[in-house]
Order: sequence, then C-alpha cells, then structure tokens
Amino acid sequence: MNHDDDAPASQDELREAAELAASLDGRTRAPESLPPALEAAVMAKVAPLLDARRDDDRRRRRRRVALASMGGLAAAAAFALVLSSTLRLSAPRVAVTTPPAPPADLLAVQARVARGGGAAIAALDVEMRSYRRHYHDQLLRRRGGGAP
Amino acid sequence: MKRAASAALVALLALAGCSQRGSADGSDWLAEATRRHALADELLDRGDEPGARAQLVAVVDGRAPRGQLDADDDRRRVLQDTYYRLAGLDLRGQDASGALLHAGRGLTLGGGQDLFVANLLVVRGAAHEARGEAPAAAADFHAALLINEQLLAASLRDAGGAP
Repeated sequence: MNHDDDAPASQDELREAAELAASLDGRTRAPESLPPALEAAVMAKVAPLLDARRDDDRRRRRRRVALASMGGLAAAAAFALVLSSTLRLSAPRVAVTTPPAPPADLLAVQARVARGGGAAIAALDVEMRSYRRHYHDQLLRRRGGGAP
Repeated sequence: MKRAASAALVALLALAGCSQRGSADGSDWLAEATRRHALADELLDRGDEPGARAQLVAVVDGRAPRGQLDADDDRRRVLQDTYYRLAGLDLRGQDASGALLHAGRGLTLGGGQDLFVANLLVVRGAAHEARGEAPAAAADFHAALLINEQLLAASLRDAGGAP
C-alpha cells in the first residue's frame, strides 16, 4: 500500500478509523465515574444500603453456621438417646421374681375367710405378714437392693 | 441462636437421662414400698392405725414406674398387696365402702390366679357381705376359693404330697 501522509484520508480510511476507534473505545473504556460534586451525595445515599446488605450477608452466614452446629448437636443427642436405649434393651433384664409358694397354713386361713368366715381376716393378716416379709426380702435380694 | 442450640442439646440430654433412670427408680420404688410395709406393721403393733394407713397410702400414691416389662408383675403384686391391706383396715374401721373401693382398685391391676388376687377377692367379698350384698359376696368368695384350691394343689405337688 502506498501511503502519502499529507494526502487527505479517503472515505474508506475514515470509516475504518472510526470503526477501529469505536471498537477500541468500547473495550478499553474506563468505568464511568461520578462527577466529584455528586459523589458525596450519592455515597451518603448508598452507604447505608451497602452496610445493610453486608449485615444481611453476615447474619445469613452466622445463621447457616448456627443451624449446622445445632443439627450436629441434635444428631449427637439423638445418637446418644438411641445408644442408651439400645444398651438398656441389650442389658440383662431383671428376672421375674416368682413369689414364694404360699404356705399351707396361709392358704387354709384364706379358704376359711372365703367360706364366709369374715372374722378370720385378722388371722389372714397375721399369716400374710410373715409371707410378705419373705416375699419382699426375696424381691430386694434379686434386685440387688438388700433387705430394708 | 447459640443459646437455642444449647437449650435443645440440654433438653435432649435430659430426655436421654430420664430414659436411662427408669430401672433405678424401679428398685428405689420397691425398696421404699417394702420399707413402708414394714413400718406399717410396726405402727399397727403400736395401735397407730392412721399412721399405718398413711404409710400404705404413700405406697399406692407413689409413682410406681413401669420400667422393665419383667418387673411389672412384681410391681403389680406389691401394689395389690397394699390395696388388700388398705381394704382390710377399712373393714376393721367398719368402712365397707372404702374396702370395696380399695379392693376394686387392686383388682383392676389385673394379674392371674395368685395369692394376691385371691386376697383381694376375699376382702372384697367380705366388704360385700358387710353391705348385705350376698350374691356379690358369694361370687367373690367362690372366685377366691377357685384360686385358693389351685394354689393348694400346686403347694402339695411341690411338696410331693400329690401327683
């Protein structure tokens, strides 16, 4: 291409230069900035909103952390609960305490009352006392509580 | 938020603690019940019937825990025996209605054909008798006798006195 610097630019050259300038302008344009006179007023309006948004973000982050830790704690407690009931279920059960066989005297007195001898209730009480003591001792021994 | 999490944790741990404590309370209740029965005997020997009654009422009013299934029969027997004693005291005090009430409460606890149920039937029959309710008394005495015969037969069998 033969260029003559002093020669006026052709229409095509002018169009190309304009397109190039426009494209360069679009790519490298600096961010629009506020006129210094307005900057303070705009900042005064925008700053509280920005602060609120920052607070919201911080609160949301804290809530997420708290929820996660609460979930963890609840899971741990539920695990402890399940574990404790599992251990309790697998622990040997207290054996059924078969009460001592009632002695014949006791049964005889009971039969006497049942045949309409209401007066024999006092005798039944006496028989029951010693039977009861025997039964309670047995209960406490089986449960490891010892005699009262 | 952290406070809420701590409260939730404490509540759950307390719940776990309570569920763990059932068996311990069962033994405690039983020990307490037997102690009160022994004390009631002493008080009756000294002629302090109201004092004895108070001890027995404390047994039935106490929270008898339903901890372990196997232990429930023991709990039932001890409670039924206590109701039997209370009904007996009512009868001694000419309070047939009170005796009916206590014997009835004991019988609602269920149970099979054992000495404690037979005692409750006997004392309820006596209460009916005292109120002039002959058919009800006969029914209770009959039911008691049926149990009594079974117990006697078992006792003789165990002693080798019967086939």
